Amino acid sequence: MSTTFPEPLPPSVGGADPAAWPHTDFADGVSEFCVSLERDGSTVRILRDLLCGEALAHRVVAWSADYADPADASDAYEALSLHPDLLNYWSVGATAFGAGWLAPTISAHVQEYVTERIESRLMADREAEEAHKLAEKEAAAATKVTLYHVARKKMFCLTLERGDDEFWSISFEEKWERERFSDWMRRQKHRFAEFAEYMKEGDRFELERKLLREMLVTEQVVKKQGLGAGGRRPLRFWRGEA
Amino acid sequence: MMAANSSRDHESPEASITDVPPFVVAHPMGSSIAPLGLDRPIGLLGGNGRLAPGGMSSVLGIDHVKGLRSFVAEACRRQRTAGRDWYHHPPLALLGVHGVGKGAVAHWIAHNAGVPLFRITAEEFRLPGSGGDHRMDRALPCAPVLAMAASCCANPVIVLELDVDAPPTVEAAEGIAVMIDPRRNARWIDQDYQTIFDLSHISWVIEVQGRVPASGAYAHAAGPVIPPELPSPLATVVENIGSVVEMDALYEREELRRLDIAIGVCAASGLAVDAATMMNIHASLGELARSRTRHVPCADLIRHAQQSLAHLTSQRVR
Repeated sequence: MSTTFPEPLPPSVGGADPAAWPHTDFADGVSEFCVSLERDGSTVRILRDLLCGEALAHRVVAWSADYADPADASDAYEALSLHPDLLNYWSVGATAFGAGWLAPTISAHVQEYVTERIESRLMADREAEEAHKLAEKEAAAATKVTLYHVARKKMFCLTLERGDDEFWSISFEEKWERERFSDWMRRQKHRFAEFAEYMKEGDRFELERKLLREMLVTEQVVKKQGLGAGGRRPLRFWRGEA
Repeated sequence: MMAANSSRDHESPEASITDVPPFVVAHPMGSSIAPLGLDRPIGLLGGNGRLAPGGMSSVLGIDHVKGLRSFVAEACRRQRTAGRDWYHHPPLALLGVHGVGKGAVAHWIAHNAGVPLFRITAEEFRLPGSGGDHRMDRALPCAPVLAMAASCCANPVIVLELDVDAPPTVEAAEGIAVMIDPRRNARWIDQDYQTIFDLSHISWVIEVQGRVPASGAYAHAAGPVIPPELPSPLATVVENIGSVVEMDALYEREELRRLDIAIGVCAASGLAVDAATMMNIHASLGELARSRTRHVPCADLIRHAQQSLAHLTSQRVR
């Protein structure tokens, strides 16, 4: 960023005679003094204006800086705009001591502003990335189908849920019955999405019957292969072999 | 009564008494004689471009007092547009606790307007017929008339110091209200002297000092805090015709206050002070630390700035 701080400009009067008060339409136009910040292309100024009604009676350019790059001027303008309470102080000091008195202060404020803006952008990027990851995670959670073991009204259930949506469940009177089915069902994870798709149109009991049938067939096949565990949970040690 | 400022107009040849509009402030009734020779013309000071927008309205030193520059500018504009080439402002009340800078503001106005300044306390403000029989100074006119006679100026700045701990009586406040009211003060009658005085060009500054909040061990002894308030007859006049400025010394505006004081001290010194010296004086005021709640009295800051200026000037001479 290159900045030049010119010598304090002589008090300039914007179209008004410094020796005469402007005649306003209002006979009782009240004089008001105000300090303002102005940006004109690549120049930033602090102005001390004496207004008479709406007419400018006297203007003093308290401080002025020409920036090589209009973007730098914009940065300076925005940085100084953040401190309206200090404008009056700066205008008095710069008028009394010259623009050089204010130059280091202004540079520090602009530097601070630019640094904060970069940091806030990085922070915003980080937050956006985190939000994106969270959204992805939530989206994945919403599409992922999970098998849960649940106890309901003295019944032992297995449920299939996508996100918070329970789309299928099966109930057993005995716990071991559920565990027997669960031994088979937990090896069907790759088909859960297929079950969810089926349930969009299909009937819950139809799916239940279908799955129980498949479990019994698997038990028979495993038993024939001599891999069954025997007892109430023949697929207890089955690990999904065909 | 104390004259605090002999203005530059009295010293500079270009603004001698012959250059300023002459004005007769005393008109004896019947065969009486006006006191202190006031039936002869005296000056109306404060012209010579000071009233222009680039004049005293733009001089630095009062930016820490909100609204004051606009008040001064409006006073100058009214004088100028009415074709009156001398300074005058409507009654101005400055309210604030001790040390906030009321006196410095009045001094700034008088100095930059080029008019003499007189300070009068409420106790000193003797009105005609109010206990004069018991006083040796019965022959003297009241304070504003004395001020005009002493300075040969029909439009001095007169500062009336009021304290909430010793407010004027209702009669005194009503008497003062007549004196400061521009609708009535052009024909103010002194019954003692059988003379009509025109006080309409006096610029009044009424300083009202509140009770300072006490701190620490002295809190109980100091009594309750009393905010500065104008006595009601004066408030009626000032609020209708003049302006009330509540002065504070907020921590947030302390830097600006000190800057204004440094500038004011340099300007009042009459020396050609360069920016570097002024900057050093401003920096030296930073040595006087203040707490967030309690300000450094303006007089201390001025004294410190004056000492710094004297030190820096003597160094430069060596």
